[in-house]
Amino acid sequence: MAYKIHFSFLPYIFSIVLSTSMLFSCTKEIEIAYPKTEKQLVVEGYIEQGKYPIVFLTKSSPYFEKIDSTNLAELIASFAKVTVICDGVEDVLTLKYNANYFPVLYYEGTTIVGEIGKSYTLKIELSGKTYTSTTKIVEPVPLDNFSIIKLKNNDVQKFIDVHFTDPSLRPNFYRMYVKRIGKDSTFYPSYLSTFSDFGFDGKPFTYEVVPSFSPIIKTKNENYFIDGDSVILKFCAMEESQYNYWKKIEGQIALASNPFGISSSDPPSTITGGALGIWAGLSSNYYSIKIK
Amino acid sequence: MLKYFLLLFWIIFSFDLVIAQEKDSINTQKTKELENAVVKLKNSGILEAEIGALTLTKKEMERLPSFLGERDPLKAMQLLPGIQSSGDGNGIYVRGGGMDQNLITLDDIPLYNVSHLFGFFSVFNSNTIQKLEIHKGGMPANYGGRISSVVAITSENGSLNRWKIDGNIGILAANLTIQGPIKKDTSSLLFSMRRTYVDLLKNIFDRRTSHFESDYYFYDLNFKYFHRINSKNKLYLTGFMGADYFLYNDRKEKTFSNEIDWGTKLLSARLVHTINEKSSVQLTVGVTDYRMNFGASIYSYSFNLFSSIQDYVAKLAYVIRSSTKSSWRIGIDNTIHSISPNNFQANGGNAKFNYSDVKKLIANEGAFYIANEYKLTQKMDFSFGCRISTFTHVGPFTRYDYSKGYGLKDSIYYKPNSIIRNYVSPEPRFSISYAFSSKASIKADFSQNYQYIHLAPVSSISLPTDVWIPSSSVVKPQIGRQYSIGYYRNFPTQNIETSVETYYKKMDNLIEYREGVLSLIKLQSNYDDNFYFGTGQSYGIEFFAKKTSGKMTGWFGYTLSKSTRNFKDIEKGATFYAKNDRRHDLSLVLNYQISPRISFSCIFTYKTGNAMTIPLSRYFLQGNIVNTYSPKNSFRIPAYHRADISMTYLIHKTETKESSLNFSLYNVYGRQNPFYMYFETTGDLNKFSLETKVKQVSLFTILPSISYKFTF
Repeated sequence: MAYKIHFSFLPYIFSIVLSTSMLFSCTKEIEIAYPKTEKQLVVEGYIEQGKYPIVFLTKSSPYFEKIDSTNLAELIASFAKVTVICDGVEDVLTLKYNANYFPVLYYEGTTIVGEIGKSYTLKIELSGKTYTSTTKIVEPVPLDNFSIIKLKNNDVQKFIDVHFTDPSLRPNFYRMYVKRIGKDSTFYPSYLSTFSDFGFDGKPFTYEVVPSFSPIIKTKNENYFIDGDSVILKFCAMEESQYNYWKKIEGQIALASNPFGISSSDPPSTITGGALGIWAGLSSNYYSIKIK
Repeated sequence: MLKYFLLLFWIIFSFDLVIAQEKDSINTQKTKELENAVVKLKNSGILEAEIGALTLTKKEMERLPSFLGERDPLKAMQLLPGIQSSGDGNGIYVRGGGMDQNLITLDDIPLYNVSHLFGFFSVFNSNTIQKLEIHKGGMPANYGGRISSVVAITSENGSLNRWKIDGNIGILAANLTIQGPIKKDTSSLLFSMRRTYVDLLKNIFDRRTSHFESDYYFYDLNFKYFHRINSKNKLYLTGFMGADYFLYNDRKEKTFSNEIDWGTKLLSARLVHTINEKSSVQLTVGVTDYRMNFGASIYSYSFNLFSSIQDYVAKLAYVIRSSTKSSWRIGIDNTIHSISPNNFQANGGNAKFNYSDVKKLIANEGAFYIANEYKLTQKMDFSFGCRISTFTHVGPFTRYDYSKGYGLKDSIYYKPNSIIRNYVSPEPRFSISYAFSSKASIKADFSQNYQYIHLAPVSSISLPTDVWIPSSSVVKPQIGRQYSIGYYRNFPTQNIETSVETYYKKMDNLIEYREGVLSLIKLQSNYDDNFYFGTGQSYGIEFFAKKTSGKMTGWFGYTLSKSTRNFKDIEKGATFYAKNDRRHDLSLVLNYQISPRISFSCIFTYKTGNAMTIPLSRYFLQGNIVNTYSPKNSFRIPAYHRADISMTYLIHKTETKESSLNFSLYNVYGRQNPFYMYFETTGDLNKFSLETKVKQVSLFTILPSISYKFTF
């Protein structure tokens, strides 16, 4: 039997309550006494099988601090020493530039290439402080096949059902990335991209892929795939700590526009030393699909 | 703050305080009341042993300002000390407890949803209510199943003398009550109905030009039959039905549709047999039902969420005054719960999926209780009670077993009626009172209560989609222990009653949803997988002064309190404020009879804002903005306060006929109270700009209403 994951229904409940309350409501901007917050280092690092490690370093900013072109550059930490260590080999990453992403500066390795089953330690030295983290590239899980499904009463908009068989007797954690050629500047997580095999361990599973969009990097805001789209799917298996981190972020995004939502909490950082963020080992399989 | 005190000052002193010098209103005599089988074998007021019991009569409720032409008994109750509101809605929190910890009964049968219009109106039609009793301290042993309070609503019996029609026409709804004798002085009937007519007016003005179509209405029906079978036997039948319907559609493109309907039904029969002048026995049977249906569709997707709870209730109570000093109450209760927490169906493309394996959860809740009130001396009363409650979760039920929280390991199927988990719990209670004189007394009490069913809120406000769940082998019963002490002083020459009560409450096995868990429906998961468990504490002091008669009546209530929570999995076990923690809660109610035809009333209420969690900083990661948050509930939203005024003009009054016109102004000085706050981020990072502002949404700023009431 195959199972599917579907969309959240809660936002609709809240939209109903909102529309009802609009009858009598008024909205105004208010000022509140806000507690002071310290800036923290933010790490976004990946190592994928067959690829060099990549690390983005930024800083957090107070929630109400206005961000514009004059202070955006201050959010990028570009003077760090970033090292990746595996089996006693050290790879000091070098600073590079990519205009299609934020932050535009990133660190990339030149020696160590990701291998399935191996562990990698990340060490960051910045302003006299050291931050570390370790990740592992787990066994990848391939897709069995996929199907393109059109929406009812709509010949143009489509989504993709991907079918795969979950390996039994071990916990598995997955994430789906999408890149539409000519529309997305990079791979970007699909809508509700992160899931585990909780409930379907060792069984065939169907996961529904629809694109999502980023407020920061260049992605086209469309709810579904459109006829003519050339899509590359990147299906990743990962560790539980990464699943917990991405899941919390997706929860934040889902509840961000919902004022009644049960308040969220911080994603659990995988970095020691007081930094925010994640150091992630990814085992990936890539699939090209033409939507028609 | 200064302007609020000035406002208060103005409200109080803009009238001449006429304090009638009437005779001592304190009743120091033993009274016996067999009516409705509530045998009060104790002194009322000063000498009563019970703490934290308050009564609102129909007359008191009718004097209060209306909201959109409707008088809401639950809103009236929020003006009493120790009872906190959730803002403009009618949800209540009692002495720092949760919203689900209040047992609300109509003629002794519980109701699970008491809200219309997402909590802005209650299901109680004030025309059909005789009185409303609140027990916020040690509740009597005949009540159980909740750990914070009991709100016992007694419906009005139909008139035994003559047929009459009462009605009220407001700007939101109209109601009509017909009552009268079936057989004079022997049996009577009361039938009442209320309905909103916003949807009917909408149809007149709707030109079908809007892109969206919406529809909303609520209604309720009340029925009461009373029959005095003979001098020793009385029969009461109560029926109630109330429902809401909401529709929101994309009329033109038919891409979006949403429908919610939820409703409550109740039926009860009560037989009261008076054995002799010292004892009586009462048998109550009833059924209560709440169900919610939520449907939505977007393009080819549709989903449907259904939840319901039904209780089948039977109660037997025996009351006897064994001597001039002692009285006993003994009884047994049994309730069968049938609960569907969430049945979720989804259609996508050509496939249909049923995401819920559990259709109904069945449980049995029973209790035996015994209570005694004893007059130790002329000045001292002592009462004790013990309720032994049981709760049994029975099959059919399937429990999924997971290894380390993931990966289905096994499933266990329980056959119908097989016992899955059983709880037996003692619920003792003691109280003592000492009267210094006929005007002053001191009282103290302790009580312990268990609660076996829990409301799992899906959001920070009360919604019809909140789900009731039963205790299980994972979800333990909530335990509440309360200690309170109070000093009571009456000033009979001024018709003023005052009291100061202080309390400490400890709550165990409280539940909270795991954060974000509802953004996905999981497959083959147990209904009780997704909770955190913790404890709560609350304490406070309540001041109350009430003027009971004279041209000017009303009351003043103030509560200073604190309510905190500890959950092992939230904030690493550190103490955090409960969402409804209120440091200050103040209410003032004044009614003034200007002339025989004109009466005036006003209320003022002030309460500390809710505690909430806010984002502190943000960062950019993988193309998203990620927030870091403050410690849970460490931030306060602005305080809630408002004043309402009301003027009633008696147009016509004879012995049998009456008509009056009421003008009410809700939130008279237009305070924009926070209904909720949100953070609005504007700008485009692709263009290197981002700015965040705090926005507050307020409801009901200055809301006038008019209603016409008639009786003939």
